[in-house]
Amino acid sequence: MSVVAETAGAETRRGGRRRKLLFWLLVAACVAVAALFLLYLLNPKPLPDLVPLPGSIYSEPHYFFSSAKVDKPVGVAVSPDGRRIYVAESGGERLVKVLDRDGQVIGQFGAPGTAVGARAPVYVAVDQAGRVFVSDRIQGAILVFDADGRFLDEILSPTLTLSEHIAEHIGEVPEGSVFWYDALARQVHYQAPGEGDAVLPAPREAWSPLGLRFDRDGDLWVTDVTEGAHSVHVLPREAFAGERWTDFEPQVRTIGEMGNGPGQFAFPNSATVDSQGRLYVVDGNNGRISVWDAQGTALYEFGRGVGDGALGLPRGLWIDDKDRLHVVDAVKQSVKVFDVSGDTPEFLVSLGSFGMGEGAFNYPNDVALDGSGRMYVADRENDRVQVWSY
Amino acid sequence: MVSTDRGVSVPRDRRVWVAAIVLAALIAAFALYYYYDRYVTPGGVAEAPDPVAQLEQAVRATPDDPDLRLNLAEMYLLHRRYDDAVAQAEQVLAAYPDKDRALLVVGVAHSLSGRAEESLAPLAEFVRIARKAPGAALDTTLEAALYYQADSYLKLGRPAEAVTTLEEAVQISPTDADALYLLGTALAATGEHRRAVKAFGRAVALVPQFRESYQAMAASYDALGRQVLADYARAMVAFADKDYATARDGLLDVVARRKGFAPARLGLGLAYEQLGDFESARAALRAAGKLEPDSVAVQQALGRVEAAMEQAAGQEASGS
Repeated sequence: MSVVAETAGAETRRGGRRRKLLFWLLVAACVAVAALFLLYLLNPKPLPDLVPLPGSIYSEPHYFFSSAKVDKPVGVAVSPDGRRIYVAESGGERLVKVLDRDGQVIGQFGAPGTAVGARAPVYVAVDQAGRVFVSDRIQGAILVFDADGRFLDEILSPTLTLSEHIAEHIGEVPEGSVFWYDALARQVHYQAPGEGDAVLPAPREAWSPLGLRFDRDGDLWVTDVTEGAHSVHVLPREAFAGERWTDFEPQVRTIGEMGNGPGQFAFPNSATVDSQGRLYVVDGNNGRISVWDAQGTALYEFGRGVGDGALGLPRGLWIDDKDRLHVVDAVKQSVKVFDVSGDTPEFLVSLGSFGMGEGAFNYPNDVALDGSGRMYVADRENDRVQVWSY
Repeated sequence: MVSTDRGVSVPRDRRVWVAAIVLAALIAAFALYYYYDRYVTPGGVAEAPDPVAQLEQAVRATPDDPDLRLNLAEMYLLHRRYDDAVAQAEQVLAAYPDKDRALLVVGVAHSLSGRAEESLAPLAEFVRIARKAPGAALDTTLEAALYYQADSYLKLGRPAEAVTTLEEAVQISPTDADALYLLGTALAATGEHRRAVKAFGRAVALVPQFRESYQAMAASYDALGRQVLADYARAMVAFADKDYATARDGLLDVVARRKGFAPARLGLGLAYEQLGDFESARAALRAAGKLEPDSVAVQQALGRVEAAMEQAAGQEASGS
C-alpha cells in the first residue's frame, strides 16, 4: 500500500468519526428540543420558568389581548386548570361572568333569589376543587358556587353558613333543598324538596367580607371591612370539606385592627401569603401593603411615598409561584410588581398607564395569575379583562 | 478501500443532514407554537369597545336618562371634547338644575378650555352643594372642583381668592402636588413668597421631578433675595431635566454655602444616585437624614441606595 493511500485512509476514518460525533450531537439536540416542546405542551410556562437560568432574571409580561365586553369588572379569578376565568361585574346585572382562555363569555351566574339592586359581587377566589367564592357587599357574605355556577352555600359570618343557620331553625337541610338569603329584606328563604317557600329570620351575626384569596395550603384569607373593625381573617381549609356546611365551626384567626398605624388597616382590600408564609395585606385607604409574619406579628409596611414603587390606591393583589407580588393600583392606573422573595420587597416594574388602548388601564381593580404565566387584570372602566403574558 | 470508504461515508453524511433538518424543524415548530400560544391574539375576541361610541348609542336609545348622559359628558371631558361635554351636561341641567355632577362637568370643561369666567358659577354651585354632604372633608371630587375654581381665579387675576380656595383643597388632599404647586403660584402672585416656597417645597417633596415647582420656587427665592436657595431650586430644575451632572455641581455649590439646608443634601443624594455614585449618594442622604430625621423622602432614597449597594456587593461576591 502506498503512503498516499494510507494517509487518505486515515483522514477518511477521522472524518467518519467527526461525522458520527456530529450526528449524535444533533440527535441529542433533537431529543432536548422535543423534550422541551413536550414539557411546554404539558406545562405551558414562559421559557425562563421552564429552563431556569442562573441568577434572577426578570422578564416583564407583555400585553396579550382583551376579553369580550364585561360590565365594570372589579374582581377576577382563575380556575386551577387555567381554563376558566371568573369575573365579578359591578355594572349591568352585577353577575359573575365566566370566560374561557380566549376571553369569550361562556356563562354567568349571580346570587340566587336576588334582584340586581340586592347584589354587589366584588372579589372572587377559586379553591383547588374549582368552587367559586364570591364576596358580596350588599349581601355582606361570601357566596359559594360550583365551577358551573350552581349555588352551594353562603358564609354569613366567619363562623356561620346559610345552611347551618337554616339547620339551626329546622333541624336538618334535606338533599335537594333550595335556599337563599335576601339581605335587604333581612329574610332567609327555604324550600324543602316538593314544598313551598318558608321564610326564616335573618342571622344575627354579620360581617363585611371583601377580598378573597386561597393560599397554597387551601386556607381562605378574607379581608373584613365591617365598620370600625377592619381586619383580616383566615378560614382553614378543613372548614370547606363537603358541599354544604351545616356544621361550620372553623378555627378562625383574625389579624389587625382598624386604623392607620403599624399593624392597622383602613379598608383592607385583599390579602395573601408568600411561599415563606408571610402575609401581605393591601391596606387600601392607607395606600400601602402591610406585611406580617406567619405567627401574625406585624413586620412592616411599604408602598407609601414617592417614586415608581409608590402606591396610590392599591386594590387587588396576587403572589405568583416565584414570589412576585402583583398589586393593582386603581388611581395610578397600573399593576406594580415587587419581588418579595427576600427579606425586603424589591420593586420590579410598573405595568400599564391610564388610557383605553391596548395595555392601558382605566381604574383597574383586581389581578390574578394562572400557572402558565398569564396575568388577568379587571380593567373596570374599560369594561374588559386584560390578558397579559410573561 | 477508497470505494468502500466512500460507500460508508455517503450514508453517514445523509444521516447528519437528516438529523440537522429534523432539529431545525423541531426548533421552528416549537418557536412557532410558543409564539402563537403567547403572542397571537386568540381569534374571535372582540376588540375593546369604543366607550364614546358606546355611550353615544346608549344615550340615543335612552335620551331621558340623566346619569347616562352625564357618563357621556364625562367621557367627552376625558377625550378633551370640552364643548361636547358642556352641551351634554347643560341638557341635564335644563331638566335637573341641582344635578351636582352636571355642574362639575360644565365647570371643569369651561376651565380646561380656557373659559375661566364661565367656569366659576357652576363650580361655585357644585362646591356649595358638596360642602354640605357628609364626608366633605375627605371628598376628592370637591377637592378637584376647588382646584379648577382656583385655577380660574388665577387666570382671571384674582390670586387672593385662589389662595383661599386652594387652602381648602389641600386640607382635603394634602398629597395633591398639583394643588400645592398652584397654591404656591397663587401665594407668589399675592406677594407672599415666604409661604409660596413652603407650598412649592411640599409639592416637590411629593414629586421630586416637579420641574415647574422648582422653577417657581427659584423665582420666589429670587424675590426674597435668598440667592443660595434660588440656586438650589435652579439646580433641581436641572435634576428634573435629567441633567444630573449639572444638578450635582450646582447642589455641591449650595451645600458648601449652606451646610444645614437638608433639601439640597437630599437633592445631591438623588443626583448622585442617578449618576450611579452610590457611595456619595449614601453620604449625602445620611447627612440629609441627620438634618431631617423624619423626612420620608430621605429615608426612601437612602433605602433605595443602600439596597442598590447591597445588590452590587452581592453581584461582586458571586462574580468572584
